[in-house]
Amino acid sequence: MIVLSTQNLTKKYSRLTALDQLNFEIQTGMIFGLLGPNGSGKTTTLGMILSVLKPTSGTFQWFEKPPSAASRREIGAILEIPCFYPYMTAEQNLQVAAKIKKCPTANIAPTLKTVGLYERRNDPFKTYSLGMKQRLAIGAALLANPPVLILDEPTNGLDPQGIVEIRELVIQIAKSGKTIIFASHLLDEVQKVCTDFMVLKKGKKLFQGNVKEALSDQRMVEVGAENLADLQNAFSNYQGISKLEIKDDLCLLTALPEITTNDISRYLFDKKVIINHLVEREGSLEKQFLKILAEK
Amino acid sequence: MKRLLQIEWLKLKHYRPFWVLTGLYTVMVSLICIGVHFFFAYLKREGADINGFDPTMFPFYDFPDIWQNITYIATWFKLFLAFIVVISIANEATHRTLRQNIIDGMSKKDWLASKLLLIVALAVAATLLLFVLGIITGLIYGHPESYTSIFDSTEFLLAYCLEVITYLTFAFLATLVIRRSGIVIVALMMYTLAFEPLTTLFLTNFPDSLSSYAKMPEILSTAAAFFPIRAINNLIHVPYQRWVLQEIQDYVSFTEVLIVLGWLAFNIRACYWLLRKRDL
Repeated sequence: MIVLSTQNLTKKYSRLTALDQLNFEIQTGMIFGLLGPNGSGKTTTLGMILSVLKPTSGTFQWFEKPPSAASRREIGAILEIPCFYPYMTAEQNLQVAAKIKKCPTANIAPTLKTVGLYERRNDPFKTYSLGMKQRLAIGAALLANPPVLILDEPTNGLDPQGIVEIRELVIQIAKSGKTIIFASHLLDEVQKVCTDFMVLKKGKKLFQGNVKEALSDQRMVEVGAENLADLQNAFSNYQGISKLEIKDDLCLLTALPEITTNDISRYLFDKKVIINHLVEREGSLEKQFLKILAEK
Repeated sequence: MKRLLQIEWLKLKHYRPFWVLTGLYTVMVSLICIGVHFFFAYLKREGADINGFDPTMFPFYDFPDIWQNITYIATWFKLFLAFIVVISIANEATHRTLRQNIIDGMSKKDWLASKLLLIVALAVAATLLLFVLGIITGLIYGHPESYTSIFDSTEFLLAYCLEVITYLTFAFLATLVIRRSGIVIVALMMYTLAFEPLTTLFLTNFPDSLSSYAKMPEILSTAAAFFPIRAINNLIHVPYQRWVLQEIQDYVSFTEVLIVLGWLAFNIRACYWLLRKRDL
């Protein structure tokens, strides 16, 4: 099923076009990374699909229906900074959220335990550290156990341990079949959890695709040998590679997708070249991202 | 509707300024309603007489006049109730909880409705307080022969309820426009207590100074009745001149109710329009 689709979604602020004719679709079960440099339109996009920003033009549908308050109750979302009533405790804030989302207050205690705030549940929100506020926001998003989650920079302000915890939480939630839309500028993060991603720049979509596919043409194989010249020579008429570079006494191969390290090893064995190093390097989303940004 | 009111209640019940302002309103209105008796007694002891009357002879607490007498006093204290509305709405804007409420699954219409329900609840509570105060002080200090007409003229209570509702929607609109609670509170006080009364006073008393056209003075002095605060305060006319045997308007005028209903509809429409139009 299509969870979300947009048609020519556009947002203009007087002279600035924050988002320009965006079209995309998200399917059930995707963990969808929304990438882009600062000011590229990530939060504008999320604001519009959450009905807090009014599109200048264009439309969007949740669950193949026009957006409504009822469809938003099927979505747990955090947008930018955590927003709560500062004079109320975590528990009281979640009571308000539960009433709005029409979900039982019995969900509150387990949710607070999940995000590690149960001990502090009776302290006012304003006494929390940024990391704790962020956890409470994630808790509020999870509260009604919605099928769709929107997380805008969810690891902002968290310490390294918190980042790992949230990442594991996201993976764990994703395994339960939920759809997650994940905006981040931490590419490492996105690569670790996302199945699909989209790159925005200056309000325009530069790329949308599957993370694995996007990284596959980035796969590199490093091969090293005592005699580098022999090795280079052996590869000169090998059909299985598309590119060869020499770097730091190693041959860097861009191998065709069907070629495995096994194939390379066997080929070199047949050519009687002895190697001392053979490593497959996965591409990184960071490289791919920079490449996409540079291309356009 | 019950759910929307519960949401408002959850937001306010832990908020100290809400209780302080509610308490201030209750204490002030009660003290003054009861205090009139002691004030008259004090005047008498000081030997004051007004047109040959002993002040304690004034029938302030006699039914049914008491209803107009005390609702008129309470007119001056609706600012406290307006501050509750201002703070509640300005908070939602500055803490961005309005935005979060929408994200969490309230529609803008629901959000508006929840705040209007808060306004109605405050107005009904304030009216009930006056009703109880009127009954108690009337039975204690009023002349026993007036007890037969306890429930006459209670339309002043309804008029007070409408007055508070309309004034609070005015405060709601002002807060949506200005957004900062401190500025709204000062602006609201200046406008309600000084700016508009002075303007309307000027228009009704010196219309000639503004124009030399023959028809203009009449139009200007009529226009004064349509100013929002003037219209709201006009629902309950000053009753006290009747003690010096002047004629007063001792009923709620239908035309004046219509003008107020017009403002009420305008305030609500404008709030909704702003909420829908704006990015949050």
